[in-house]
Amino acid sequence: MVLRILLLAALAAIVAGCGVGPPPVQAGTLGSVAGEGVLLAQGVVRGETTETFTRVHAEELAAQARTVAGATEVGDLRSLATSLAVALDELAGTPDDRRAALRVERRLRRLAERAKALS
Amino acid sequence: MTHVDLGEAVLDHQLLDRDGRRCGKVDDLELAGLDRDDPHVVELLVGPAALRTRGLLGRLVAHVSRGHVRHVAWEQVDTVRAAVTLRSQASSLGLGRGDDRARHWVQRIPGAHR
Amino acid sequence: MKAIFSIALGVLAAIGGFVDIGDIVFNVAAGSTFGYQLLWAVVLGVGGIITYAEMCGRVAAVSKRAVFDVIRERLGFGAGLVALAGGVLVSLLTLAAEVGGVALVLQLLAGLPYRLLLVVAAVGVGVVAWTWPFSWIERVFGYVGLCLLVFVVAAIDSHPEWGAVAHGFVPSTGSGDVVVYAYYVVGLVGAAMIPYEVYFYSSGAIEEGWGPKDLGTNRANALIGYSLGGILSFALMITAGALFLPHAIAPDTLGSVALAAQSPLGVIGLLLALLGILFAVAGAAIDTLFGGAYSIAQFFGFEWGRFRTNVGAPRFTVAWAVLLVLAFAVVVTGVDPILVTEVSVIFAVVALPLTYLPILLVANDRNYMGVYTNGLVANVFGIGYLVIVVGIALAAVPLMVASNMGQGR
Repeated sequence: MVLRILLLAALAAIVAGCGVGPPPVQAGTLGSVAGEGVLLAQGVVRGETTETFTRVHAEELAAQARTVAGATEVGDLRSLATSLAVALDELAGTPDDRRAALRVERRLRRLAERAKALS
Repeated sequence: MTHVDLGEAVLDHQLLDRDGRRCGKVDDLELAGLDRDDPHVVELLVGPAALRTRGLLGRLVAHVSRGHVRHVAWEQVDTVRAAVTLRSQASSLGLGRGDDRARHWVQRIPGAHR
Repeated sequence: MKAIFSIALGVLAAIGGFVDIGDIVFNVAAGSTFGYQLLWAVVLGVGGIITYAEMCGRVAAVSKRAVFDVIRERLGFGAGLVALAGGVLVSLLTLAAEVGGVALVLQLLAGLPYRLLLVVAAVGVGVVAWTWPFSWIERVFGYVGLCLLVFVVAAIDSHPEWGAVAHGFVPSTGSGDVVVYAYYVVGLVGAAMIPYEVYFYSSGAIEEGWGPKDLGTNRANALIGYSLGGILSFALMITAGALFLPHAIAPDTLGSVALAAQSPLGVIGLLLALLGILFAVAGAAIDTLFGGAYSIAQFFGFEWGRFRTNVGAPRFTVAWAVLLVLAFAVVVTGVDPILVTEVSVIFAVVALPLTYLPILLVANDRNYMGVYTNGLVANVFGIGYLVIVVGIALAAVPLMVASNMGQGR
């Protein structure tokens, strides 16, 4: 009996972990992704990070944004998520380019503001 | 302490052979003399098959495992402290067979003696 | 002098070895959600592991029994087997999370594909477990794990509001969603007190041949080592609170954790953080691996111990090899190791009373402990923590579901 409850709970947890939640949560996630992207880009601008780390982490963040883009039904959120993914892909593609990183940082800041407004 | 008290005190305890080798747990006890008001432990029963009498889960484990019950005469018990130390070697008592079988495979892998 | 030196080495290894992936994930998540408000929960958890580890170490040194010897003797076969099944299941999940975590960090360092690095991680853990002596394992992973001290520097460097930090050490119900807050309290205490740590610690005491003369070392390791280890947890939470909370960043990966050191401290911060996380999590993986195998071998009475050599304890060796393969199977499915971490910590909390109660009983039993039974202090803390542990064990799964795994409703 206890085992069954535990298994159900585990399943619920896994499903919950996979899901992206309702629109306010989605907006929060996008804001978080944007904020982290800003920190990541800043590292590149200052030359204080490694290329591998930037590339791998930017790709992870882009993937998160794309998950929300695929899951959301709100048009604004979808376009926001897609823009985020594009910006992060750019950062991942040129992890040593400081000028590109500066542009990406500015874009991500604006996207973070938009996410905040939408949540 | 009567023999039965001592017997219950060794149930589920670790068995060590003469060389200090761990060779199983005391999985059950064989008692005698209960009808004559002279209860004492005759044998220690060792092995998954001996778990038959240890409740539902014990029966389950006994059911899925192979092997026979190992009988260890009470006279084989040397000392009872944290573990139950026996007078003979594990192999002569039929104990530790599982480890012997596993050793057969493990020793073939390089570095097994590390 | 030599004694102090050797105690110091033990303490250093304990500090570096204190943090595992569960601590990392929960402390950083708590910091980025509630700032410094949950620091008291870390203190609570550290107090619990100190109480519990000291007792297990003393029981092992005096009665020569490791945790699962005690559990079977005290609970009997049936209840003991349930405890074993629970303990092994939790160890398996934890191991899967840690192997995945090692692969994630390797990816951030080397950039190679994740699944390939999973194989590297699993094989690496297996080779170390097969070939390294016990003392090397404890020391190497413990010492390099000390790189995580970079987070202490990062915490100070991020200029947190120290008044608010101090306030965080006072228990409160926090501001914000109470259910999510309670979930984090459970997770933080659980991550600090996770069972495999004491399976490993008490078995290690027997591996190293501890006796009553080593009770001082035991107390030092537990008290000093784990308290200082707690400082690493504080540092993770404070850094996350200072850096992530203001920007509403919810760290979802180990890369985010490393970012928390990179942002204030640059490349050196990043590399020390990655190295520290790598060795802390890899070391934890080996501890978990052996912890699970110790439990199985001790419950059934097989020969066990790294000291016996692989061929000297063959079923113990097979047990850990099987656990490693199963853990790899879990994580190679592509499931997120961070998610597995959170689930494993919550389940560990549920399993905690089953492991803890027998130890408390034995530590008070003169037949086992002679003159070394619990004193008043040990019992006050022991019984107090038993109540806490039972409470969080009951609340853990409902809170996990109600708070949507800390994501909020």
